Amino acid sequence: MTLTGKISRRLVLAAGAALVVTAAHAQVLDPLKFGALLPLSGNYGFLGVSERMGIDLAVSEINDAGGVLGRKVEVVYEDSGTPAQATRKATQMLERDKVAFFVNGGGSAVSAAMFEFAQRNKVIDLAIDPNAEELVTTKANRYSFLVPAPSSMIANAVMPEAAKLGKTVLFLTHDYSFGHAQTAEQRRVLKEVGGVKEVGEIKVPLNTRDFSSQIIAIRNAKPDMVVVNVAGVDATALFEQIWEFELFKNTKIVVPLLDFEDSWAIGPEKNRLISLAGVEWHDTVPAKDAQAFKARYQKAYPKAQYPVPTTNSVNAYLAVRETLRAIQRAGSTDTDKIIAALENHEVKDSLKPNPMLIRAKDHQWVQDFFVFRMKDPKTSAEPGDIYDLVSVAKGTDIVVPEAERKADLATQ
Amino acid sequence: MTRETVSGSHRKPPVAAFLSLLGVFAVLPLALRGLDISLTLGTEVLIIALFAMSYNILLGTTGLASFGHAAFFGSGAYAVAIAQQYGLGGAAIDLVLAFLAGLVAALLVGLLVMKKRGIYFGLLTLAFGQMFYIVALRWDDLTGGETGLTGLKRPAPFGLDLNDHITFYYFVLAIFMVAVWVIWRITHSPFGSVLAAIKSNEVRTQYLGYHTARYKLGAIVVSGAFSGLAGGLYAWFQYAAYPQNLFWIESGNIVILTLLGGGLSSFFGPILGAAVFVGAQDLISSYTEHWMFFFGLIFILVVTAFPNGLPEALARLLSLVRRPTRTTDASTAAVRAAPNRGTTP
Repeated sequence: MTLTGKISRRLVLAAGAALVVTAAHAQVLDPLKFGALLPLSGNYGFLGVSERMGIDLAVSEINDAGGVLGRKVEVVYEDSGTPAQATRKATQMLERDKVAFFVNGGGSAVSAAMFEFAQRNKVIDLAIDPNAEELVTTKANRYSFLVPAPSSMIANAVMPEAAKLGKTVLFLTHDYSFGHAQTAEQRRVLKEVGGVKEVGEIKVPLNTRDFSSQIIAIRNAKPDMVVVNVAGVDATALFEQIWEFELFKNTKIVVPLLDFEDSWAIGPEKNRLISLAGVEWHDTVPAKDAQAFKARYQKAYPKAQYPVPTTNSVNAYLAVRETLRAIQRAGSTDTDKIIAALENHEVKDSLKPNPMLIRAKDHQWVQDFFVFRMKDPKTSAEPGDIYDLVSVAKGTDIVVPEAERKADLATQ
Repeated sequence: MTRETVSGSHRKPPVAAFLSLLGVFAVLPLALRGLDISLTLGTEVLIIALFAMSYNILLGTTGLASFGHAAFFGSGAYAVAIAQQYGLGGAAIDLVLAFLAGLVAALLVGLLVMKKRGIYFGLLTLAFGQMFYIVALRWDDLTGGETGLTGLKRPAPFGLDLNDHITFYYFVLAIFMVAVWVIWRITHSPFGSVLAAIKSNEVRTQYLGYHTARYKLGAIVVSGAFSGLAGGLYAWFQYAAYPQNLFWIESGNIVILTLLGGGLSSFFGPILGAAVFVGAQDLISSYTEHWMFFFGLIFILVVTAFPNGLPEALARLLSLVRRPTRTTDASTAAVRAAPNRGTTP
């Protein structure tokens, strides 16, 4: 009895060891791996789903076309979780999976930690969902790239249009670095445009799901418009309650950064409580390749939670596709060579009206940004057709000029 | 009954147990390499184990369940991070500051909770812990707010390059061993005996003439100081301090892993708990993002079936395999303490 127990234990151990050995052996040989740390839980958990679809699409397209440098591409996924968890996972991916580069979602805190990780380990990291300015200023470094638009670009694109909606404004600010930066930048633009008076600011703690007191305060202040700088699941809860309290009837609701996921969560009818929204991407933007991209997405994900690709899918897709292309151009997975291939590269098939530019100075991916009104559901062509285009902000017009950027990555 | 194994006063230090502990951790890097697991996991186990040992001064020795211990851990981490922001650095300065930060934070909280016990003690520590978290989250200028303070440097004591995984591991191991030794001395001193008496029966201890509130404050402060030290090491480990270091979930984790390791009845138990917790978090979460669910199942199973944690579970399994010979010369003190299932009122 004891004897057989011992033997089988040994057998299992031996088999396990053999498996480990073969797995390790196979890794060294072929596929090109990169690490993806995406939010799979928490306030931004739903974004990870979209991001993963974008990444998988980019990888399958490149693999179908023969891979990169003749190697098949593989993704190692992990939950980004907290900054501490993200960097721990990243360390392991680097040591165990020998990943060539990283992409990360999970907001600005995780991204700041990953940027620092990238610099320390001299490995490339691309942030695919945060909009924090600091990632291209104080936290910028030679190994890190910011794919989405930061707060300054969003404000430059949206606030001139918002200023046409009324004379008084109240800010609803998520009380952490993202919200603070958004409101500060939008204030700056409103001041430049002129003619709009700020009548107040209400700070909303992270993970607020009951907004009744804030809504009453807004009612009492009677502003012409409320600018909502609240993100994630909190934003969905806020929209539901604005609808419930019919706040939108006397006050215009401006959302400088709206995710399709949020719109979809509250439904096309309630979505119309928003008067004006800034959106990073939608399939109806006037770009040659947008509809074709949508078709590929729908073909790949017939049962996707969202009927059309979202901003988060697109940013993830572009980040991965362009980095893999850069590896192909560089002819090597050497970090310095990939960085050189990415810097100053202009992407023609950007899925947006204008080409995308990867700036060398601050590693900002300069992309177009869009201002939308909400569509009357009766005129929608299909379920995902919920926005009407107001204006296209060309990336190079709204980005902070290179000369004004303090970050100087060359010296690092 | 249980107390005798943990802190029967004036006992001779279990040199054999310390040596085997040192031995296990000294060869751990080899084992991890063999299993293709990153050594950073081992370093994290050491740091979290130190945190758990500190925590167990309160839970296991004094019988006080604190639910806000991350505040002291995080204070240590932020002390190192903030000092570095202001240009202060060096291994000794960092560690002393971390220790003091945990000590001062614990003193502040301790003064307010030292007269409480049971659920009131627990809830107050939880509330104070959250206050530390909110301060870290909101005081952007000092703490970096939500993003925390990143980009820390590991110092180079005696010319050692702590950025090297192996050097850092053994450096942390050295500090860990010294700290655990000191904690052992404290819990087995006359002071520790009073703490044990408080655990058994606080009112009776008061009738014996001891000012129990002061002793509890002492326990909180010592526990907080070593938690702060662990936090300081964690800041080095992460090259950063994050608000999450202070969050109540972190406080909850330390309670769970201490219980899992059998901290209530075993001095070395929390180390085992930390190893299992950190290991499980890492290994299970590689297969499923719902790792907490599976870990929760393990926790419920162990705690309901084996109130003295994993050491008891292991000992019982072993006694199933072998006939119950009760070899008291078990390899670690943790296992030795486990069969001792007497319950203290």
